[in-house]
Amino acid sequence: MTIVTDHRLSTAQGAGSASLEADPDGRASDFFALLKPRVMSLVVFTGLVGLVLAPGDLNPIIGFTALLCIAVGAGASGALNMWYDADIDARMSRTQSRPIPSGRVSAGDAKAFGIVLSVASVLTMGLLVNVLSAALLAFTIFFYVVVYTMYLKRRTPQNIVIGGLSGALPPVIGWAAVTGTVSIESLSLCALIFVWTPPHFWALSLVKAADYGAVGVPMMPNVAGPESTRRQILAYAVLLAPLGLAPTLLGFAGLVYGVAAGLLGLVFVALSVRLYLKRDDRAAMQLFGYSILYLFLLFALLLVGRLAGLP
Amino acid sequence: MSVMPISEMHRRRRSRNIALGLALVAWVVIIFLVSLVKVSGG
Repeated sequence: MTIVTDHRLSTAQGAGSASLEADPDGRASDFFALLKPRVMSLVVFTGLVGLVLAPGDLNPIIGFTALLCIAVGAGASGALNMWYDADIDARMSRTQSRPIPSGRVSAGDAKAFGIVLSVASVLTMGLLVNVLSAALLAFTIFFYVVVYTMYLKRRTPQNIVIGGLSGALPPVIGWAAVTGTVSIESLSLCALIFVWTPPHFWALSLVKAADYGAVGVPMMPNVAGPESTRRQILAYAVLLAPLGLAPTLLGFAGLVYGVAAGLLGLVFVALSVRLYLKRDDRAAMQLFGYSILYLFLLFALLLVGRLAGLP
Repeated sequence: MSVMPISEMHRRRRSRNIALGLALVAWVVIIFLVSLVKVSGG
């Protein structure tokens, strides 16, 4: 741990020497970028679906507040992730233009920003919505920042498997905001995202393996090899396809959703088989792109199905 | 009494200070609205 921390600090100082000497005055847009807005939008969307599907009524203003807290909490996690990972971000082409490695925001400012927003989002959720959703939000932030970012990411190829729990919890938080409970229905949505995460990330890491290898992050292709990664992607896809049917089987989504989820799951498996057989970057990127579409469509179908009263 | 002129640092930080101010106002408005909802039994 000491070695990793020392290395992190020395590299961050090297990458952002300007930030330490000149105390950069990040613009509002730089701080907004620290919130990882693209990730935040997916988190808000799945949280919204959990909120809409939950039985019971919630005043729209309180519902909006719950979503805002989820969004700010997710953004705060992103800022703290960028603070801690500034050293490896500076050495990867995909991330070196982020606010800290590019010297637009100092590491200290990013850390303070993340901590303040984390505390504010959890307290606001607890005071204005309910205690359970606030506790779940606090656990999600803790799991992403401490368990995933600080511990798992640099130590094990199972990093995104276990760490994926933090990305899977927003529908549970949304559901808890309405009902004040955690139920089998919300946990099924959580399981869906949890099982979706490994094939989604591993498809990308097959293509970016060299980048991850150069900075010492033990992604599955670097540790177990591409062949094993493709096999594991296929295994997760086979597990994911029936999990997509859970909302219909548990009775909180209709037949239209069930049929669509079945077909979308089959396409996911087919693209995973194709990646396993073809073994090229193009097939990996196609699966990566499709995985985003798959999750978006499933949750959009759940949302539309409930709002439009589809069978 | 002389007024201290706005420094270069203040100018550079203007956009982020405005954003921070707006965020704080929005937070107060949300707390106010939710308080109204809760008081009225919503």
